Amino acid sequence: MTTSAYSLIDPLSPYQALTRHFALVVQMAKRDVTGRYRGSFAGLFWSFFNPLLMLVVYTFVFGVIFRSRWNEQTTSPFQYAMVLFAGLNISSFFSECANRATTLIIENTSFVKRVVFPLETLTWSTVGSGVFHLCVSTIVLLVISPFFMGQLPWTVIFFPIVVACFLPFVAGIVWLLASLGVYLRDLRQVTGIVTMTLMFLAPILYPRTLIPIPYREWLYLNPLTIIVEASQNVLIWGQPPAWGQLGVYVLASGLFAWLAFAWFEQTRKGFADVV
Amino acid sequence: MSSDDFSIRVEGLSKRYEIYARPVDRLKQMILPRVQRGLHWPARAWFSEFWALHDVSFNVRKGETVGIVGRNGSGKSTLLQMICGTLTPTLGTVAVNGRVAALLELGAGFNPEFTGRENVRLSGLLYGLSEQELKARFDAILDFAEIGEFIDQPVKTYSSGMYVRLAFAVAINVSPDVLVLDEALSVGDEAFQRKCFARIDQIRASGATVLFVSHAAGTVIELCNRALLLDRGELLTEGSPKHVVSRYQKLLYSPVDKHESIREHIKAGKETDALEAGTGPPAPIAAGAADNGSGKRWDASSFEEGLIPKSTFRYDSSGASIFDPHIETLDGRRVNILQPQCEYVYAYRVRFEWTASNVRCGMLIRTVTGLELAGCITSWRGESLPDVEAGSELEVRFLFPCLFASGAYFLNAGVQGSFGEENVYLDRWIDGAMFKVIHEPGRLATTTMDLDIKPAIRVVNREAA
Repeated sequence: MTTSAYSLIDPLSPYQALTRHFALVVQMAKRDVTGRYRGSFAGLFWSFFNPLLMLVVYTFVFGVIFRSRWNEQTTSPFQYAMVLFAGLNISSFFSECANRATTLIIENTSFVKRVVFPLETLTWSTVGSGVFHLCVSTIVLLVISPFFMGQLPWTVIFFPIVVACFLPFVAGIVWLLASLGVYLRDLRQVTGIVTMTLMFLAPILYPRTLIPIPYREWLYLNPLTIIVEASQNVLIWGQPPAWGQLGVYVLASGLFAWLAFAWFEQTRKGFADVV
Repeated sequence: MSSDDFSIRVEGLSKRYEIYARPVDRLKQMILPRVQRGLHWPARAWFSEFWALHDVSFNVRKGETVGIVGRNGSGKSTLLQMICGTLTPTLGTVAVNGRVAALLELGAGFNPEFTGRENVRLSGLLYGLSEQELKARFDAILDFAEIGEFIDQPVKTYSSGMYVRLAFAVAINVSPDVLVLDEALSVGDEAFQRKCFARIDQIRASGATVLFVSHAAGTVIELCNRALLLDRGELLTEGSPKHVVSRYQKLLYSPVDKHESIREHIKAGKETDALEAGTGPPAPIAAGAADNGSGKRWDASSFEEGLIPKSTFRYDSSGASIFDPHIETLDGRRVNILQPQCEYVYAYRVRFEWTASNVRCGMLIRTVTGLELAGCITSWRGESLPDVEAGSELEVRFLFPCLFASGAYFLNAGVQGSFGEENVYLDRWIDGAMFKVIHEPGRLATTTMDLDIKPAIRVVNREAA
């Protein structure tokens, strides 16, 4: 007998998991966001304050101490920090989702064993709460931008599209790691290293042009690269994203999400035996 | 039975638990056997197996209340979990008609980190309620659960009673078609249990089906139309709650070496024991006090071999020894399952090795917790038997009315006497015998003593001023 409530042949099945249980996903994501700061004095304010502080630290360390410059033309100490911040937002969104994914099922044992819970929606609520924090950081960036850079590029309106292209990939990673994390308990030790490596091997701390020519294109093997560059383009440089690249990316990302979702649905029947 | 008349239909249901030494073995089991078959290699299993349920089939019609009894590990919870859909059957099918609300184990499905309010919302959404329905029922749930301010605290801070109250409040307020209860109610206090049972009655009256697991035989007899007896994953028998509960208790108190034969008897349906051998219809309970112990009443008392106290303690005897403490009916039949409001005799014998003077005997009835309920002595000190010769035997009998509510009770026995000046215990048994009082449907006594209190209740309408 099949255990999946979805028609897995349908490439859109991963998104049905979202639409069918939308209220539940929203409730869980909301809970996740508010739960993190529960009991703290400043509460939700921290989710604004944290990225702001980070930005100040980057500016001081990289802009003032290291005198890092993204390109030669500028003398502003702020520019590097801003570009770094735009890229880091993407990579920390990704690594937060990936790292939480490995324990997603194990930490919700009661949803596996006690009630009939649509486990696949846990992925969307994890991604949802990640998106919330990404939005907050981006708003901080956009508010600061006119002061540091003199203007707010009009291309920021494309940012939601860039993120939307990224989401299927992130959701796919969460499904894959959530399922594997149940069976391979060492996974959570590994994902931390891997996500950090991906961060260093994306054009976040340095422009891609800094890499020697023969290796430069290798960077595109990193699934973060295209999204990071597109974000920097629309948020900082005022350039529209490379549409062709992004188009290929969203297709690959959708295919990956579909496969990962099917894998999750196939392997979930074993969860109750081992959690 | 028409096709949409059923509420739960279970056919050939079996569950095999696969026990994995390491989580990764579960993953191998999912992938490797297919590969091995593909390569025409012999496929190996990565788990050890345990069958929790074998080939269980039964039907429950709409509106029925069915009790499931069985010893620990008999597969009750596994069965319920499969009915609720949290476990997938290994073989066979389960079909459930309508919305199932379940209370499996303690406060099932609550996330301990979430507040009560969040958990209520979450459970409501899982039961398929819409936002509007949830809002409309929230107050009713809060009202029923009686946990006040705690609703905004994480559920992990709740006492077990609060936990169950909230879980129960949710389960019954989602208007289930099938309500599944797994011994959860035993946690609440009496008042809350009453309230729950009242609410369960209401749910039954509205045509919903209730599936109920309990160790409390009385509750099953009181509440259910029908009962199932599970043992080691097999459905041994089903039928009237009284029929099933009596067999369950027989199984429960039988010595281990007799389990097999009793199981076979029950399965074959040949079992006829005192509980039902009377065949005559039970006398109306209300008349019970009037013909108390007269023997006219249908006698439901019986003897269970295995019902022997495990806590028996004998003091060192000196000069006399008590033996064979037991209970019998007025006509001399040995029993240990007693019917309330009947009279029985507690009897034991004392054999004297030495000649003793001033001999008198005593007894004491205690509860499971050791509370001393009632005692009696054969005489006060001045009026004791003056002399008992060495080698003689005393038969001591205490006629007592069984004024106890259903439950288990323990009996002490003691004999005092003197060889010289000093009056001492010659022999003394603590928990020398035990008996159980069965629950009679309709009897309203609570706690320990059943003094045949007659309740009366009426609505007094206040005159409009």
